[in-house]
Amino acid sequence: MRSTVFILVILYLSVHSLCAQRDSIELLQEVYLSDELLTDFSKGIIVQKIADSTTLLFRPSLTATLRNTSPIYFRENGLSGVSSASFRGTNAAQTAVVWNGININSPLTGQTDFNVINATNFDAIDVRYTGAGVQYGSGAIGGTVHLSNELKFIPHTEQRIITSVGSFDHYRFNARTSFGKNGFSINTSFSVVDAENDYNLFRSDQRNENAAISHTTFQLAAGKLLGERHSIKFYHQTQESNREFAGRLFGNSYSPSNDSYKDTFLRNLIKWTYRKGHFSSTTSVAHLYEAYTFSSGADDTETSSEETLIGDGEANTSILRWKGDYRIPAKAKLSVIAEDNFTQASGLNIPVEQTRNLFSISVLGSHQLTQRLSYGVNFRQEFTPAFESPFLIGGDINYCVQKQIELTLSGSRNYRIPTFNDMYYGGAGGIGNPDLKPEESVQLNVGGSFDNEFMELSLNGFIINTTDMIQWFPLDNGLWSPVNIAETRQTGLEFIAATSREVGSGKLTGNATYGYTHAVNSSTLDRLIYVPAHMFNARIGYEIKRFSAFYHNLYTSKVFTTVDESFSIPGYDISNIGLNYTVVQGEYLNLTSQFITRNLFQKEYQVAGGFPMPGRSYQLQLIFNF
Amino acid sequence: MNILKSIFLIALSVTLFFSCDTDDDQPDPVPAGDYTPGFLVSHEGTFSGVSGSTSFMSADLMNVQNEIYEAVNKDVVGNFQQSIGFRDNFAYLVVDNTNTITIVNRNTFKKVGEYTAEDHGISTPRYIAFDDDNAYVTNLGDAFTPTDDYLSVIPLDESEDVVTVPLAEGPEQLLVQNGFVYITHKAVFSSQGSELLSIYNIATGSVDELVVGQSPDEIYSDVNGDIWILCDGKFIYNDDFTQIIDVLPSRLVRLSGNSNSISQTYNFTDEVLVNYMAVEGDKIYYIKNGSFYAMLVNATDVPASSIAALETDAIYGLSVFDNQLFVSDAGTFSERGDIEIYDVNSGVLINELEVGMIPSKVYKN
Repeated sequence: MRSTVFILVILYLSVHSLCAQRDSIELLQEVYLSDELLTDFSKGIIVQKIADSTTLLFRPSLTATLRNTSPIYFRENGLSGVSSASFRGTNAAQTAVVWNGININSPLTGQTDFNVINATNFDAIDVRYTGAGVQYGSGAIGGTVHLSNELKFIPHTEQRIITSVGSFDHYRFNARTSFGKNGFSINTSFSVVDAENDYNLFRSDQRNENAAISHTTFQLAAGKLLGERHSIKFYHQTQESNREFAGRLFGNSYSPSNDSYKDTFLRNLIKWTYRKGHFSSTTSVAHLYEAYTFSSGADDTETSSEETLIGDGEANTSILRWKGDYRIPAKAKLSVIAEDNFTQASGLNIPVEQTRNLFSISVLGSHQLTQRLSYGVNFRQEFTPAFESPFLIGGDINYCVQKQIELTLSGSRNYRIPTFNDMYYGGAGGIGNPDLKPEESVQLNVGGSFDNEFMELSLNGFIINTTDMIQWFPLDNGLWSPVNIAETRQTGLEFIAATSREVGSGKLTGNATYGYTHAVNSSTLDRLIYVPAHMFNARIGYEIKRFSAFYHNLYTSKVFTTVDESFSIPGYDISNIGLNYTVVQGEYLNLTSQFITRNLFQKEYQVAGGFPMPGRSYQLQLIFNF
Repeated sequence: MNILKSIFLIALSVTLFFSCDTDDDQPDPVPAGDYTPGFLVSHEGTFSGVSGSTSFMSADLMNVQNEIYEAVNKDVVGNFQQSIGFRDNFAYLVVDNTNTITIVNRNTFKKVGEYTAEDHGISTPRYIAFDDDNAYVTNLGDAFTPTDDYLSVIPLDESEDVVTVPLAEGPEQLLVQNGFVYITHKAVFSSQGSELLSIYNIATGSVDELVVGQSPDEIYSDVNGDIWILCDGKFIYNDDFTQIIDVLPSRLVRLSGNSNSISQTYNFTDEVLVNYMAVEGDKIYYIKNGSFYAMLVNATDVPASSIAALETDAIYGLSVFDNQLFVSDAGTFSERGDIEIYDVNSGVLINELEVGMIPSKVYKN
């Protein structure tokens, strides 16, 4: 208990300014957050917390959660297909996904597929708007998405089971436990998603064939406080998914598919923290494993052709990190991070096993200059024989106008390193380029936020300029190969709002985000493909006694599908509604039933060309808390 | 009287000449329509979500209309429109991933029929050609399965069942002449590639395979009835694909139309691959190193110098009609492409027209 109080005090002391700490999410004092850099050194940055209960309102994928609650665009090849993010108009490899403080974008592709991550497994999902190359490394350009497990050391025992059934044979199961006692905490989750996704394709008597997904995740987080000075934490994730890749529909012309894709991820992280006085040291060791196989012809009864391997690959990444912190309570904090990241990758399309070692040194500092003004400066240099790595730098300023209003200004220089595929690909149709250098990006953000007991508002403006963008082009011999060629510029703004107030004898809640993005190729000034100009989502809910209901709306404007703005897919406007009823509200059991109707008005839409999304669908969900 | 007889004979011979011309080269003259006379451009479409399409270029090469199938039929053909075949009044749009061949009236581009996987057994169709009785279609089957490739023989009057003729891996372009179907095996989805030409005897149903060279692709017949095949060649890389360790050079092969045997091969010795060829009359045209070359069908060796350098970013197709060279430029493969038209003799760029997504071949209509 003394150790808990100690952490509580540390966390409390670290933030002591005039303004409320909107940027660093509400600090639950007894909770240990795994991703310290998200809360430290982020005073001038907007971080949006996605509430755990919110993820249950949408389909289980991380795509669905973020599409419906943030202005991040997802290019999704049909429900459950490959899904890549465009954050602030940047591309999929420029949005880093961070698992418990570790960047998990694939070393093979540079991206994370948001449809193989189940959003209901995490205690916290945070969206950090703006680049964070110093903190999170490659790909943290448009913004970062943080998936975290929390360790609660106060005595508690909690279990939650979710089970649901929905249209197109969609099943979901999720079990979570959390336990804490005597400086020990453990948190596990197990989830399964299984869906056929054989919905009717609009305007056609065709069904969405070969689009099934089955997906299993196990997670464990455990921590032990050892006396007042030491703590050890362990995080684990095993994730396996087996998907079919759907056919495509153009007009009434359907291209069937019998492709399938399996992937496996194993992630382990162990952290040892030592604290003494104003000093603390955290040593982390992590291992990330990923493997995929891409095949054609599986389960194909019609042509009875055999399964043929199209591609496979695997990557092992080992990370050793040391972080030293020095803190002057309520005044300043300085961190130094030294990290070695060693990756080896091989596969059908990386014919000879390749390795890469990245060693980096980062220094991060923040300082509360006056009661109103604080600032932070940070930088990072990476050393690798693989390519010339740019010097990264970031800075932010936070100014409290008055208790409820703050203004922020931040800028950073970030990068995206060439992937193993970019550098070492060898196989059908393509050839890697070992002479690539990282994409480099500079950006500037200005923001303002307001909050009181009823509402939180924030408004951000940004400009991002990226040079040496890696793009694949055909060589004279017909093979495709990547080069550092394009330059892009994104300008835009985001508006995030949340409100909650008593109305009658119930409670009214509202959440909305709006994003405007103007993303162009700097030389042609044509807008980038798959970046909508406008994205809007809003949810309004009312709860009274055991009932609650919500209405949700998602609007996305059209996206171009070719770089010369000559072809596009239209925008869409989707409505969802849901009704909750708490069936049992007891001391030992809380049972809620949820009925959700998606795409209420049966709108026809696509988020990636040729992949129609489903029409109206239903889901019934039961949530047991005990 | 003699003079009248002479006039009559001259008139008769002119008539016969023209009728011969009509019979041999253009069996049924195509009546003028919305999309005749002129040229059609076939487009594959993209992976990022644009359907295959067809553009129409006016006969004077001054105007272009894009996505004409969509404009007429309010629908699209899907991905990827690999090629177009012509017969009588019809154009056949071959779309590989949808497993369909959409049949349109070539004047109006109105859809009049369709070959499908269910009814005609086609699977990943690539090219189509015809004789008086049948349509012949090359099929890859499952693109990544080397052993399920075939030729479909589809009776035009649909009076009989479709015949499926198994073929070696990767059948691509085809040519029908004198009772034979000549099929190149480019084997686009194979890492090994192929060196084969299949010769299907229409009467007996037998298939002979002939080794012609690495990656045979384009195939044409010339003014003498000889058959010309361009073998694309191939680069061989080391294990980690960091350098080219060998070149299997490109090669032009002339096959005797009478004996179906190779009468001459022309090897390109330079370490540059030649991927595009077209034939008109007694001349062979090809592109090497961004320039186009012309040679006579009876040349003993490939020419040393080119006619002209092309202004093309990404060459994706070559066709020749009426002494005009049509080069398809796919640009960045993510924007509208261009058709550049050159005079084959002077090499002068006549015009450049913006067309659809990923243009490949141009056809006379």
